[in-house]
Amino acid sequence: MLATPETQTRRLEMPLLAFDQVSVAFGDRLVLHDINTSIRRGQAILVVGPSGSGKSTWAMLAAGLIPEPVEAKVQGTIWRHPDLERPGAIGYVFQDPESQFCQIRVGEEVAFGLENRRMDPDRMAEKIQNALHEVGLASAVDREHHTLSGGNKQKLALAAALALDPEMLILDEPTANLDGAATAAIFDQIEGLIQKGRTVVVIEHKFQDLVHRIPWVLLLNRDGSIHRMGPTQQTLAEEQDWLSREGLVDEAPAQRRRAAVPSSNNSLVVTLRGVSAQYHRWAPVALDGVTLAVRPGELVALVGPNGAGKSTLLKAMAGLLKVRTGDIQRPTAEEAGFGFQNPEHQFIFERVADELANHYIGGAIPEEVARLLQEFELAGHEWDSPYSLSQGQKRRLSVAVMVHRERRLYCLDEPTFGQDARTRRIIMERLQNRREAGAAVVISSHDLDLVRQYATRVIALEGGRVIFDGTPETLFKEPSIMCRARLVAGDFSGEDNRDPGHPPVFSSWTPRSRQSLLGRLNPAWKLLTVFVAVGLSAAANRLGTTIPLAALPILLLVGFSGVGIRATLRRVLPFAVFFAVYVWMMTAYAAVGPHTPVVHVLWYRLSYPGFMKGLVLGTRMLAAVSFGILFVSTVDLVDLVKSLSRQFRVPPKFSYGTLAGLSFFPRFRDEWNKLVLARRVRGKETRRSWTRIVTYALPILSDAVRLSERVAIAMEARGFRGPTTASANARTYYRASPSGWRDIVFFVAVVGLTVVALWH
Amino acid sequence: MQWKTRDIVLTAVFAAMCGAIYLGWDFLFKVVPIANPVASAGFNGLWWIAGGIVPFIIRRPGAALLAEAIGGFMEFALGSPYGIQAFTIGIAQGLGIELGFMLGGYRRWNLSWLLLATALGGIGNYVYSYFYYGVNAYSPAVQVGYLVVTMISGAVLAGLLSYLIGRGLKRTGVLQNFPISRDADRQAS
Repeated sequence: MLATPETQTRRLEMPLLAFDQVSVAFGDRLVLHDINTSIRRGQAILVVGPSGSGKSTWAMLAAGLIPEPVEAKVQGTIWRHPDLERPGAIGYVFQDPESQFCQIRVGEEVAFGLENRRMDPDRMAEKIQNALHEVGLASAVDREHHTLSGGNKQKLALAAALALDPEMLILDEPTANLDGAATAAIFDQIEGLIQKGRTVVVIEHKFQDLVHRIPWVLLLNRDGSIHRMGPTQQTLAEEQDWLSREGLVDEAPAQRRRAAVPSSNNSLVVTLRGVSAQYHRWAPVALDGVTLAVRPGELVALVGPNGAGKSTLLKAMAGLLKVRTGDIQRPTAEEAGFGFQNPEHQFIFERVADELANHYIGGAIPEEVARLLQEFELAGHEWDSPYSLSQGQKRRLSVAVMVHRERRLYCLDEPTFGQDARTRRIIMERLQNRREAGAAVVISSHDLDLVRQYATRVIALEGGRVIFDGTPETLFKEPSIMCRARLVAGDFSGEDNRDPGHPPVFSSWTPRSRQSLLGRLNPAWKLLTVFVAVGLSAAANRLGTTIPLAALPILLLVGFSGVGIRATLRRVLPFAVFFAVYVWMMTAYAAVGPHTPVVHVLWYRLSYPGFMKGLVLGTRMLAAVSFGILFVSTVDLVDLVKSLSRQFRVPPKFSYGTLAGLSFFPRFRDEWNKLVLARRVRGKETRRSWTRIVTYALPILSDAVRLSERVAIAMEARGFRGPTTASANARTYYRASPSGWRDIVFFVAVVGLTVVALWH
Repeated sequence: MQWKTRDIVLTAVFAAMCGAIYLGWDFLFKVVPIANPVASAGFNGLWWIAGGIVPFIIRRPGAALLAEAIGGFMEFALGSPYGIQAFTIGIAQGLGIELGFMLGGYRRWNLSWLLLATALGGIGNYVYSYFYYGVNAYSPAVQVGYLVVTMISGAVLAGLLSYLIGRGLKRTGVLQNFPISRDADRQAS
């Protein structure tokens, strides 16, 4: 049964947390003030307030993440129940599903918190399975989590928190980046937790669906003070005026869409005939025989699950993508605009006003720019860096840059993704104006209300094919299509959990090499062994020593790594080309005695002793490279990091912190590709951008900085603070590789053989 | 001067990206030495830019060494033609840079110290190349030329570039919780 305030009040006994006249400031900016609340055990609270009202700050304060690691000035008194002091006692699920993990595979991620609590590693597997089972991810335990969908990532974050038996759970806009179906699934999880009597705090701007599920509500004012706290349904009913004044509910009832403006010459803006696309030869088909036409005066919404081909179709329409087959007729690059999902990708200037004007503004702000600043509610920020704006402001800026020029076609990828009601309305009204003026607008969206309110036509995609093309009204009458397009919840458990077939990125080894003699060795000892052997190789200065040195790792690879002869050769041989360069270098440049015969070719003086030196150098490098291949072919990154701490006492802060950073490598590879594309869209303004190399790289670098900060906060929220970060002994290790006599034997044998080869 | 978790994560993220750049640089400039080793040294500096940008932002003892070790390791793991030597030379270059900041007592991080430190990174590169890449076989004149050009290259490609990136990034406001933003008030850089 649903929890009600009355049933909950009876269960509430002890307060867990109490604030007394608390205020929080970041630098000079006061974010929260006059905070007097308490949270009781078993209480479930929904936190509602406009953007910038300090909801997240309040939540991080409650979680003990302020003033450290999130630095802020805090005044007033905060009382905490002693139960909240142990690591992981407060579980925290953050808004961005991409930046709260620090390991590589699903199971390890859950284990991270358990390690911080020094749980016995033998008990971890069961605990992990239980937590994953609770959120429906049990089958994914060995998958690399960067391949999970956004919704499943949030479920994993929830499982990681639940595994720690938290006294209190805080969910900070957990569904802001999710589609309708995933949102519904997360809301069901939340409801389940409340019914089990957990203390839960949920910040959510799509709160309408939670009103009946969360008994208490806390309303925050724009200035960072508490407006009211009380039983949810009653309070929200009484505060309708306040809610609409703060822009938390859409006050304007859905405007009737006007029919598409009939175009005088009835021309088409874009026509696609049998278009198929693929990102590379091995990738699944992104578009599969799509045929459609878009007319002026249409606002087309593309819907469908992640990976259905929505972004690809938009790119194909805007001319950003070479299609494999089919025929596209579209406006010129000048007449088509494209808006990326991440607004930062489109910024090419360092000030908001320059961005709007599309050139550096020397003196006063041109009238045109001033008008845009007003229209998109960016006034007052004209000299700020675009990167320093809030999410909503960034999005408004990127849309302003794109729509202020008249074009025939506007393509926007998720223009209202994660935005509050106000920004969403500003953006959609501008697009609607463009449409009414006769342009065609195509957007992708997961937002059902947006489709209902603004779209004149909906195209649903699945697996690169069009499964629906018609008016929103018709779509709403087809529940099965709605479900397949993931606009509403349905039974996805089977589909959603399936492995999309991404090959693992971080582990190059096969089960065979894992089971091999070398694969079972301890990674840290193996690194040390390889390090010493390669270090000693500097002393090798004749072919008689360098050839055996190169043979040693190759023989080890062939014999004991499970890689096999063919694969070994395939990995080693490409390097031979590079050693030819060294042979040439030495032949041409080595210093030789005065009486050595040399051959003059062009301005080079080639000598035989130099050639021999080159061969020695080349084989020596072959030895080093082969030792390297031996190492990477038989080591897993996570195992390496853990054993650096366990065997060699590297403070976990450094080993786990580094692992967290490295785990984001695939993300930045993708980001880079998107950035290159986005720069192409801005076209001629960016043509000379290589001269401003720093500005060019800013979107990726600023993303990297923010990501590092968020990840570090998420790690600390899971108990990675205090002694467990400083001392390798103060934590336990899940699936740690043991070390033993085998490693000693390997070390002695490899180093011994190297020494023998050097001084025989 | 205590390292915070976010400093380490930032080091790893930046260094890993630099590792990918190093790899591209490996392939781009692998052929230049054919023409002339001294000329090729002019490109060396970019191989320790992680050791410039990371300490410039986070300003911790050991930052250059850690960044270069991770960058080199990533370069190696991604398939550098230098193999595991990409990792070991990274450590050598990192130690060179570290020496520069150590001379400044880990309190001076302005442009001149950044240029000095990244130039010293060139000494790390030289020493390693002397023993492992056959620089010892060149005539003394070529060796001196190699060293000088390498150090200048380090100051420009690893030092000056890091300074420009760090300053540009600071202007965006995302670095406000990192030492680069705090120290700037006390010390004109």
